[in-house]
Amino acid sequence: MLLFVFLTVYLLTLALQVFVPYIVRETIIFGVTIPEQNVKHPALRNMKKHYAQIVGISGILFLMIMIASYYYLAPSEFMQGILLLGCLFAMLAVSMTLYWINHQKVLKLKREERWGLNIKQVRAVDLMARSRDEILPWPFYVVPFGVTAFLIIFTILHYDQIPDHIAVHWGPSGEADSWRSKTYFTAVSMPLVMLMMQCMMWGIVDSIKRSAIKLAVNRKEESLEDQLKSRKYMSWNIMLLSYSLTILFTVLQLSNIYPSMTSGNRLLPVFILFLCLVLGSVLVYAWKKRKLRVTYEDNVVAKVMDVDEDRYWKGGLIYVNRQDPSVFVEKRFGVGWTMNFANPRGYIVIGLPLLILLLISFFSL
Amino acid sequence: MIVMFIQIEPQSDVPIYEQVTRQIIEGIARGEMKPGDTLPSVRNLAADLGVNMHTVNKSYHELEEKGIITIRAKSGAIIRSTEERALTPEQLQQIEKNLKPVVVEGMVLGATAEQIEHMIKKVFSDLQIPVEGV
Repeated sequence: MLLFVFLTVYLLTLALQVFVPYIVRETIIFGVTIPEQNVKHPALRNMKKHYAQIVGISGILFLMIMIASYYYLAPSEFMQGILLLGCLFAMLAVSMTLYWINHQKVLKLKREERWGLNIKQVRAVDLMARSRDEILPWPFYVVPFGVTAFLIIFTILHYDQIPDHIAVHWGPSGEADSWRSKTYFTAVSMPLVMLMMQCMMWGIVDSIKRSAIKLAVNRKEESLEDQLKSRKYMSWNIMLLSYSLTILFTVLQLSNIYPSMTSGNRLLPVFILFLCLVLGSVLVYAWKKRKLRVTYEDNVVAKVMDVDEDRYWKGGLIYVNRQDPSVFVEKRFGVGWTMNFANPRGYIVIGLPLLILLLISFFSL
Repeated sequence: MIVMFIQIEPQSDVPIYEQVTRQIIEGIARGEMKPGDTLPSVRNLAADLGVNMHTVNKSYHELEEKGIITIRAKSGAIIRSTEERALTPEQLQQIEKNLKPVVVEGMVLGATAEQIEHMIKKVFSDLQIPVEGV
C-alpha cells in the first residue's frame, strides 16, 4: 500500500518536473525573461530538451534502484519510508540542479546576445477584465466553516462517549498508529486544525483575486483568456481541496467518537479518494495550462515586450517586489502560484493559520 | 467580447498616473468605454498595473477633476455621459491654456497654422470622429 501510494505521487511529480519547461510561459525560459523574437533560438530549444531527457532518465533510474532495494535492503517500515522519501528528494535535487545550471546559461546567453536591450518595455492591462473574472465568490470557501463548527459542538456533546485515547496520526494503510489521552483540547484539536486549513484556502483564493491579471503585451487576447481561465480553475481546485479536506477530517473525527468505524481498514477508501482528488486536480490544472499556453512563431519582430521583471525574481524562483501590490503571482518555473515575499499580506494569509495550526498540533501532542 | 486595453511604459519620462489618465481619456474618445461604464477599482487596477495604489488614485482624481468620471463611494468610478459633462467655458479655457505652449513651440520651430490645424483634424479622424476638411 505504502509503495503504491508512493509510486503514484512519485510518477506524477516526475512527469510534472519533466514537462515544466513546456508548460510555463514561452517567453520565460528557465526563469529568465526572453523577448519573443528570441524564444526559438536553437540553444534554448536544446536546453529544454536536454533538461527533460536528463530529468526523465534519472527519475526512472532512481525509481528502479529504489524498487530493487525496497525488497532486498529495507525490511522495516521505517527504513522503507526513508528510502522512498530519499528517492523522491534525489529526483527533485537532480531537477533543481539542472534548472540552476540552465538558468545561469540562459542568463549568460541573454547578456552576450544583448537580447531585449533596444526593445521598449510595456505593461498592458484590460480595464474590462475584472468584470469577467470568474473566481468563485467567498461564500464557497466559508460554507465548510459551518461543518467545522457543527463538528466541534457535536464532539463536545458526545465527549463522554469518546474513548480515553484519541487517534492523532494515521499510517498509510488507513489505520491509526498514534494516540493521545483524552482532554477537551485534544478532542477538538482536529476540527481546529481543519478550521485553520479552511481559513488558509479562503485567504489564498481571496488574495489571488486581488492579484494581477497579467497580459502578454503582444498577445493580449490570448493571454487574457489564459489568465481568466487559470484564475477560474485555480479557484475551483482550491475549493475542491477545501471540501475534500473537510470531508477527510470529518470522517477522522467521527471515527474518534465512534471507534468501530476504523475496524477492518474501512477508512482506506477515504484516504485513497482524497489522494486521487488532490493529485488529479493538480494534473488537470497542468493539462489545462498546457492547452491555454500562448504559442509564439519563429522570426517575429516585435516593437514592444513585456516588462522584464528578472531583477525581482531571486534565482528565477523567489519573487520579491515591494512595488507590486499582488500577493500571489504565477510561478515562472513550475505549475501554480507563488507568493510575493515582499508583501506582508502573504505572511498573514499563509503564515498566521500555519503558525496556529503548528501550535495546536504542538500542544495537543 | 468587450475589451479595453491600456498600455503603460514604466521607464517613460511621463509619470505613470498621467499615462493612465491619458489612455482612459483616449479609450473614451475611441468609444471603447461608454458613459455609465465602470472603471476597475483602484485596488484592482493598481494590482494589474503592478503599481502603488496612490498612483491609480491620483489618476482617478485627475479624471474626476476634469469632469470625465464620477467617483461614488460604493459603485466605484463611473464614466459620465456627454450631457453630464457638457463643456463649460472654464473647461474650454483650460484646454486652450494646455494647448498654447504646444502650438507656440510649433510656431517657433516654423510650423504653419495650416499644419497645426491639420494635426488637430488628424487626431479627430484617427479616433474616427467625423470632422470636415480631412
